[in-house]
Amino acid sequence: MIAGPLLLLILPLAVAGIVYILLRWTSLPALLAVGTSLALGWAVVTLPMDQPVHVWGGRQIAMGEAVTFFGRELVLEQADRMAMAFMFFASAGIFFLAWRFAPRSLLIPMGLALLSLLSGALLIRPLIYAALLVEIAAALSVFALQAEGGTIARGGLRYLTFTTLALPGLLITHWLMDRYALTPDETGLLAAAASLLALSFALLLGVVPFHTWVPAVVSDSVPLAGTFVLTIGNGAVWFLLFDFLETYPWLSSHPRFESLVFIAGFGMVVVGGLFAPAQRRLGPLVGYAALVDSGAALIALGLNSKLGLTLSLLSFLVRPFGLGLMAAGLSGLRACSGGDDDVDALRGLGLRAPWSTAALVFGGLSMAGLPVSAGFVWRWALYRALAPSSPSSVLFLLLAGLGVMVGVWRGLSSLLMRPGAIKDRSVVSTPHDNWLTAVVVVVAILGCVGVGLFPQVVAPIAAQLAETYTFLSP
Amino acid sequence: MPTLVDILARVSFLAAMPAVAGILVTAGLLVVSRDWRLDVTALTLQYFFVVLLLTRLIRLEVAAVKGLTGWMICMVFYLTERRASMLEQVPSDEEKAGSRRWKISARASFCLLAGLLVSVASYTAALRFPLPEVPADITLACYLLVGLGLLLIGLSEAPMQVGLGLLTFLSGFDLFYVALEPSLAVAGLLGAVSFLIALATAYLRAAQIAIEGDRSTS
Amino acid sequence: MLPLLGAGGALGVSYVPRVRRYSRYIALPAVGFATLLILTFRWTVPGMVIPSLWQPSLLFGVTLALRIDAAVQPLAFALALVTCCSIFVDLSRTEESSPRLLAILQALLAAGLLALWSANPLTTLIGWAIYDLLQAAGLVAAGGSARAAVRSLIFGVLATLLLWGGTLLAEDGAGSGLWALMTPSSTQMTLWAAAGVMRLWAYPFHLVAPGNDASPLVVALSLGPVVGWGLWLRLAMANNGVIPSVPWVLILGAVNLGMGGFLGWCCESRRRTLSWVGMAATGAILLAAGLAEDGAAAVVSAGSVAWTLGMGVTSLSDGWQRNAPWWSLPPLVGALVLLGLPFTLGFAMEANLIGGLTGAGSLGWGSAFFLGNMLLVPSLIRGLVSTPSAAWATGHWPHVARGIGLGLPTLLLMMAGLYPPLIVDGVTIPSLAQLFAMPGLTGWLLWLVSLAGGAVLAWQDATLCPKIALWLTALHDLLSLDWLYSTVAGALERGFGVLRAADRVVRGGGALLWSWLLFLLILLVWSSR
Repeated sequence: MIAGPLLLLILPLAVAGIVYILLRWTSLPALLAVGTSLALGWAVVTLPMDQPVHVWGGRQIAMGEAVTFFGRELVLEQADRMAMAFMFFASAGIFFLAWRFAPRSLLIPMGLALLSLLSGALLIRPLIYAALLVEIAAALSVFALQAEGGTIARGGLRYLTFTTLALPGLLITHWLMDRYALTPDETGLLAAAASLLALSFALLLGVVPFHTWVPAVVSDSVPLAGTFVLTIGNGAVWFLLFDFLETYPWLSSHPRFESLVFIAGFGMVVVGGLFAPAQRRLGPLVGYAALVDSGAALIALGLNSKLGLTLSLLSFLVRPFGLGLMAAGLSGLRACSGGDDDVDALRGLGLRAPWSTAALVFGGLSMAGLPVSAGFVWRWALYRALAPSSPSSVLFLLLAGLGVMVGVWRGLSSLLMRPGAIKDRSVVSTPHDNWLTAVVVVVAILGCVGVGLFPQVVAPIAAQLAETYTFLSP
Repeated sequence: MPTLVDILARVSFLAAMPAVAGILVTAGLLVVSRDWRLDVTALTLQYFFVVLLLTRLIRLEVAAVKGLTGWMICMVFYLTERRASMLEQVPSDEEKAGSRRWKISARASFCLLAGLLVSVASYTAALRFPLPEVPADITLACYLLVGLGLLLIGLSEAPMQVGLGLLTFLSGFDLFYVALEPSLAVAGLLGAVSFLIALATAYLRAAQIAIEGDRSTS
Repeated sequence: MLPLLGAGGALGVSYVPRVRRYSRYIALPAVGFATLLILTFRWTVPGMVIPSLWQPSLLFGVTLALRIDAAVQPLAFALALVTCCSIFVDLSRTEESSPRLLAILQALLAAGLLALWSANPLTTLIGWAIYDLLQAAGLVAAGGSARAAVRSLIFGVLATLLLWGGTLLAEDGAGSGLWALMTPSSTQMTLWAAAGVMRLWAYPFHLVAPGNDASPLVVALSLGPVVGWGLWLRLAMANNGVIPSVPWVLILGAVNLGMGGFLGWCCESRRRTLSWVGMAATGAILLAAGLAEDGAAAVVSAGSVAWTLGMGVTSLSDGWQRNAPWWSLPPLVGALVLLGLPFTLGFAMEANLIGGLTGAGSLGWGSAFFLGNMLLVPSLIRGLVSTPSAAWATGHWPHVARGIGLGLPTLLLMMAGLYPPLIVDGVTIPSLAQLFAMPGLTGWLLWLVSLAGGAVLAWQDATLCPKIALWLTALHDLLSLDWLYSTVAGALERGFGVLRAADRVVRGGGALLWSWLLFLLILLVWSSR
C-alpha cells in the first residue's frame, strides 16, 4: 500500500529526474510536468482520506495514512489537502505557460523538485522541519531562476539570502515555545517568540523594508520561475504562517497582531504602488505588482476574522493567473527584444508579439485588481470588507492598483508604437508568437477572465479552506 | 592513523578564546579579501574553529560531521574558483595591483573598518544580550559570525562573496542552535542547507564565468 | 450572445485566407438580428437575468445581473442600429475592411449592451472594463495610434475607479443595491458624475475620441460616450429624475458647448470637426439636463439617442453630394439633429435647454449657448461640404447596402422628431406642442439670432477664415489641450524619475544593508512612540 504523503513527495521527484533527462525536447518535459501536477492535484482532492483506493496491479493508495520519515511524522490533513491541491494546480498552469515561454529551462525539473519539498513542508510536523524544507527549496530555486546564458540571477541570490536570514527566527521560536511550555511564568519568552516570528515572516513575505528580493526575483531571473517562487513558494510560506497561527493561537489574539499585520501590508501596498509606475523596465514592474498583491493579502489577514482569512486565501488562488500571465508576456517580449525589457527596447514589438502583449495586459489588470480579471474578484471582496472600517486604506489600495496599471500603460504605449515613416508601416515583420503560443495565451487569458466573471469556481474553495483553520474568530 | 575525531580531541584545548580569536580573524579576512585563495583558506580555518567550539556543546562525532560538511563546501568553492581562474586568461586589474605590491585598496580599507565596527558591536551585543544555554565565549563567537556574515552579504553582490557570507552567518547560528536543539535530523538538515547554498552559489559563479567567457570571445 | 457569435465567426473566418472577405457577411446577420431582437424588447416585460451567480454572497454581496430597463432601451437600440448601419455602409465601399476589426466591433456591441443593461454597479464596472479593452483593441486593429489606444484605456480605467469608489461609499460597502432601487448619497453622486463626464469624452477628457479615419467601422469605435449616457440615465433614474446636482456639471456642460463649437469652427480636419461637434452636442445635453430638473431623465434619454444616431449618420455619410443630392439627405438630417432643430429628435433636448436657460436667467450659460450654437452652424456646414468622397462600390447591391445603412437612422430620426415617444420610452417626454412652448419668446429669439449669426459666419467662412487662419490654428492647438497631456505626462515622468533613482539605490548593490538600515530606523521610531 502506498501512503498518500509518500506519493506526493516521491512522484514529483521521480518525474523531475525523468524530465531533466528529456530536457532537450521542448514539449515532452513540459507536458509531462503538467500531467504529473494535474494528476497529483486531482488525487489530493478526490481520493478519500479514510480508505485505500485500488489503482493498477493490485496496488493501493491510502491518502490519509501517516508516514514516518527519520522519526518525523508526515500526515495529510484536511487543511493541507486544499493547500497542496492549489500548489499542484498552480504549478500545472505555470508549467503550461513555461512550455511556450521558458522551454527547455530548469524551471520544469526544478519546479517539480520544489513541489516535492514544499509538499513535505506542509505535511511534516513539527514546524521547524517545515522551515528547513522551505529553506532548502529556496536554495534549489536559484537553479530554476538562473537563465541559461543569461545574466546572473541577482533575484535568486537575494531570495536565498532573505530566506536564510529568516531561518534562525523560525527555529528559535520553536525552542522558545517548548521552553514556555515548561516554564509558563516566563512571559518574556512569548514576547521574544512573537518578535522573532514577526521578523522571520517579514523576511519571507517581503514586507517592507525587506522587499528588495521581490522585484529582483522577476526582473533579474527567468520570469516564470520568479512566478513559481512568488506563487507556489510564497504560498507555502503563507500556509506555514497559518500553521504557526493555528499551533500557537495566542499569536493571533495578541493585541498588536492586527495593527502589525495591517501596517506591514499597508507598507507593501504603498511602496509597491509608488515604485511600480516609476519603472521603465517591465521586470521590476511585475515584481512590484506582486508586492502590492501580497500587501493586500496581509491587510486582509489584518482584519483578524474568518472573512479576512478567506480573502487572503482567495488572493492565493487567483494570484497565479495574473502573475503567470504577466511573466509569460514578459518572457515573450524579452525573447523578441533580445533579452532587454526596457520600454525603449520594446518599441513597436507589440505588433510582432501580440499574444505576449495581450498576456502582459491581462496579467497587469489582474495584479492591479481591475475588472475584468481574476484579481478583480478578490479585490472587490476585500474593498467591500475594508470600506466600512478603513476607507483610507481602500483608497490607497485603489491608487496602488492604478500605479501598477500606469507601469503597464507605459509599456503598452511603447509596444504599440508604429514605425514613424509611412513607408515602413507596410513592411510586414515576421510575427514572433506562433499559433501554439497564441493557443496557450488564449487559454490562460480565458482562465483569468473566466474566474473574473465566474468567481464561484474558486471562492467557495477559499471559504472551505478558511473553515479548516480555527485560530480566528468568525 | 589518527581519525578526525582524535585530531579534534587533541586540539580541544583551543576550543575557547583562541578559537573565538581565530573566528574573528578568519571572518574578518573573508570580509576584507577578494582573493579566492585567501577566502577559501579562511573559510576552511573558520570551519575548523567552529567545529572546535561545537565540541563543547555536542558530541565529537557530530561536530566532526559538521566539520566535514564545511570542508566539502570549501572544496566546492575551491574547484569552482580554480576553474574560473583557469578560464580567466587575463588577470583582473585588482589581481594585478595586488600582485605588484601589498597595498590596501580603498575598498579593502572600508571593509576593514566596517568589519571592526561590526566586531565591536558584536562584542557589545554579546555582553548585553547573552545567548541562553551557551557560554560567554561561544556567545561572542556566534555574534561575530552572524554580524560579519551579514556584513559580507551586504557588501557585495558577487555570488561567491554572498555565499561565503551566508555560510558564515549560518555557522554562527548553528553554533548557537546546537545547544538548543541537539536533534540529529535538524543538524542534518542544516548541513544540507549549507551544502545547497554552496552549490547554488557555485552554480551562479559558473554561470558568471560562462557569461564573461562569451563576452570576451564575442 | 448574437454579436459574440458573429464575432467568433468573423474571427474564425479571418484565419482562412480564401474566405476572409466573407467575414462581413457573417457580421451583418449577427448584428442585424441582434438589433431586431433589441427592438422587440420594447414590448417585453423587463426581467432580470443573472449570467453568473457570485458566491459566497458573504464575500461579494452582489452578483452579475442584467435588466432591460425601458429607459435605457432606446440607447441600446441606437447603439446596435449604428453598429449595424456601419457594417452596411462598409459593404458598399470598395476597400475591404479588416475581419478582426469586424469581430472586435461585434464584441464591442455586446460589451456596450452589457454596460447599458447592467442592473447594478458591479455589472456596470465589468461591462465598462470589457468595453475599454475592446475599444483599445479596435483602435489598434483600425491602424490608430498607440497613444489613442492607451489614452482610451487610461480614461476608461479612471472612470471605472471613480465608479467603484462611489460604489464603496454605500452604507453596506457593496453597492449591493440595484440601480433601480438605489438612494445614493451626494458624495457618491459626485464621484459617479465625474465618472460619467469622463465616459462622455467631455472636455477636458475629449482626446480619447478616435481621430482621423474614414473607415465606416471606426464610427462604431467613436460611440464610447453611449455607455457614459447609460450611466447618466441610471443616475437620473436613481435621483428621482434629476441628474446629480453637482455645480461643476453645469459648468462643464456650458464649457463643452462653447468650446466644442469654437474648436469645430477652428479645426481644419473634417473628421476632427465632427468630434468637436459631438463634444458640443454632449455639452448641450448635459447643460439641458442640469437645467431641466425633473425632466432631466427625458432630456438625457432623447438627447443621447439623438447624439448617437446623429453622430452615426453624419460620420457614415460623405457630406454634401452635388451630383447625387439624395445621398446628402442623411448627413443633413444628422446635422439638423445635432443642432437640435425642430421636427428632429434633438429638438426634445434643445427645447429643454433653451427653456432652462431663459428660466435660469444666467448670462454665463446663455453666452455659452449663444457662442457654441453660433459656431456650430459653420462647423457643421463646413464639415458637410468639405468631406472628401469615399470610394463607393458600383453596382446594385452596394447601393442598396448604402441606402439601408444611411437611410434607416435618417428615417428613424425624422419619425422620432415628429413623435419622440416612438423611440424614447420609460420616461415622460413632453409632446411636440409642449416642446415648442418651452423656450418662450426670449428663448426663441436667442436661438434664432445665434442660428442666423452662425449662417452669416458660414457664408463668410471662405473670406474670413483665411485671414485669421494662423490665429485660429494657434487657438485650436492651445485649446485642444494636446500639449497639456504631454506636459502632465512629462511632469509625471520627471517625478517618477526621482522615485526611480531611489529605487535603484535601495534595490541596487547594497540592498541588504539598506534593508537593515531602514528596519533599524523603523524600529527606533516605533520604540520611541
